[in-house]
Amino acid sequence: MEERFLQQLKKGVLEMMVLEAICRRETYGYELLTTLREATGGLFSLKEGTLYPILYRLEDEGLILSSWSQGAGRNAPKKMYAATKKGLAQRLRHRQVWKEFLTAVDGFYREESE
Amino acid sequence: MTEQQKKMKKYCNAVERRLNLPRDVRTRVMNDFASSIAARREAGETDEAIFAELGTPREAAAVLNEQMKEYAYRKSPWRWAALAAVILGGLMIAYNGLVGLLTHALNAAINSNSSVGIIGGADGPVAIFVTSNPSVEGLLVWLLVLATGLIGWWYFSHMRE
Repeated sequence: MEERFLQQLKKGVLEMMVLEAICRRETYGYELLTTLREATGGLFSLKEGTLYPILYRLEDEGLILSSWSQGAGRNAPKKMYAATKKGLAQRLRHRQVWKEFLTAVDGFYREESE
Repeated sequence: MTEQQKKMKKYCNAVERRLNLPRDVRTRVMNDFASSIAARREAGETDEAIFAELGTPREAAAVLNEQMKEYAYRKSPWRWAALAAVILGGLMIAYNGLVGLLTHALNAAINSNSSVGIIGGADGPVAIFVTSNPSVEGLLVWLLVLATGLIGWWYFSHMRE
C-alpha cells in the first residue's frame, strides 16, 4: 500500500522534474536518469523505459526539442534534449503550482498538529 | 564492425522486434535506447554490465512495452471477424482445390479407361465431373475473401489510439 502511494506521488511529479532537469541544461536520457537518481538520494531510480513516454509527451507538446550530438572523442552519437521557450515558461508555472501545492498540504498537516 | 558492436546491434535488433509499437514510435524508442547504451559505455560500463542491467531482449522489450502502453497498438475485436474470413477463404480455396484435383484425376482415369475400347461410354460421367469442376470466378471470390481477411486482421491488430 505504501509502495503504491509512493509510486503515485512519484508519477505525479516526474514530468515536472524531467522538464526541470532539461531546463537546467541540455542533456540526454542516461544523464537524466543519473541526475534524478543522485539528486534524490536514490528515490527516483528509473529505468529507461519510464523516461521515454515522458520525454515524448514533453517533445510532442513543444516543451523540449531533441537533436543528435556527436561530441569529440565519442564513439556513437547521443540524442540530446533541450528546453524550448515554451518549456522554460512551463517550468516557471510548474514551480509556482508546486509551491502552492506544498504550502497547501503543509498547512493542512500543521492545522492537524496544532 | 567489431564483435562487440555486432553483439550489441544484434541485441538492439532483438529488442526492437519485440516492441508492440507503431513503426515511428519504435524508431523513436530505439534511437533513445541505442543512445542510452552509448552513454553507458562512455560512462565506463562494460557491455556485460549493460546487458545485465537491461536484461534479456525479451525482458528489455517487456519493460519498454509496459511503459509505452499509451503508444501501443490497440487490438480491435473486429480482428476476429477478419480472422473468420481468412479461415473461411482458406478452407474454401483448399476445398475447391481438392475438388479440382479429384475431378482432374477422375477425368484422367475415365479417359484412360475409355481408350481401352468403350467408345462413347465415358461421355456421361465426364460431363458430370466437368460441371462439378470449381470455376475460376469462384476461386477468385474466395481468394478475395482470404486477402481481405488478411488485410483486415493486420489492420484491426495494429490500430492506433
